[in-house]
Amino acid sequence: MLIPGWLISVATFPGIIVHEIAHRFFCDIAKVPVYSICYFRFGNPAGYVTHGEVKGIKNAFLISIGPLIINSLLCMILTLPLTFPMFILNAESMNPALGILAWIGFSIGMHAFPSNQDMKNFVHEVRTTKKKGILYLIALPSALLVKTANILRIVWFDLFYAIGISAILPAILLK
Amino acid sequence: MEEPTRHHTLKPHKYPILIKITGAFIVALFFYSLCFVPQYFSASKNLKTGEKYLDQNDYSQAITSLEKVLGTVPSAKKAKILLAITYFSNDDQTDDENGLYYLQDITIDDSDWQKISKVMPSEYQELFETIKK
Repeated sequence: MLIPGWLISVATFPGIIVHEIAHRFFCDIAKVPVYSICYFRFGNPAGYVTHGEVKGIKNAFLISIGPLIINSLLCMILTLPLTFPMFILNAESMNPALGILAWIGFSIGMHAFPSNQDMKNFVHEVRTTKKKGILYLIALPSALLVKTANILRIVWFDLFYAIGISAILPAILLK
Repeated sequence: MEEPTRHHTLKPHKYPILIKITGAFIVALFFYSLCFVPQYFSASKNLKTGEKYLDQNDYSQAITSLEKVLGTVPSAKKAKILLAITYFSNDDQTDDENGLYYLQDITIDDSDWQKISKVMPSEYQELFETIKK
C-alpha cells in the first residue's frame, strides 16, 4: 500500500525526534558545534541538524550513523515488553500501555537509517580526508547500503527492519 | 531548508524541556511495561515447551505446558490453537470437545487451519465458516 511520506512522518514522529537527537548527541560527543536543530516539523526534511565542520572520519561516521545505533538500540529495548505477547503468544488483547510503547518503539526503529543527505555528508568527509583507515574502506559500501535501504522504504523496508530488530532480544532470551 | 545563523552555537547536551518531558514519559512507560515481562516471558517459555512436547507426541505434557500459558496469558491465541491440536491429536476421543472449546471466538488463519483440519474430526470442521478478508 502506498502512503504519502509526510503522513508516515507524522504517524512516526517520535522516531524522527530520536533520529535528530542521535545526530545531535554524537555532534556533542565529537565536540562539533551545532548551529540549529529541528526535531520535527511538517515539511521536507521533517527534521534536521545544522552543524559545523566535522574533523576526522571517525567523527563523521558517528554523526552520520548515530541514528542507526541509537534508534536501533532504543527500538530493541522499548519493544521488548511487547514482543512476547505480540509475536510469540499472539495475544488477542494487551495492556494499552504496551500499545503506546509499540507505536513509539516501532516508530523509532523505522527512522534508524540515516538519510541520503547524512550519507552524502559522510562520503564527502571520507573523500576529503587524508587518513585512509578501515572506515575509509567501509564508507562507500555502507553509503550504498543506506541508499538501498532508503529506496526500499517504498516497500516498507523500514517497518520490516524495526520488526526484525525487535525480535532479536526475545529470540536470544528464549534460546 | 532555512539558512542557519552561524554566529549562534547551541549549548552541548542541552535539550528543550518538551523533549525532556517526553523522554521521561517514555522511560516511565517502559519501566511500567517491564512489570509485564516476567509473566509474558514465562508464558512464552511454556509455549515453546508445549510446542516441543506436541512435536514429540507427548500430549499430556503438552497440555500441561500450554494450559500454564493460558493461566498466565488467557488471550494467547497461539496456545489455544496448539491446545486444540493437542486434544484432537491424542488417542482419547472423549476430550475432543476440549479442543473445540479452545477454538471458540477466535479467527484462525489459513496456515493454522491447515494444521488443525488435519487432526480435527470432520463433524467439527463443519461448524467453522470461512471469512473473506
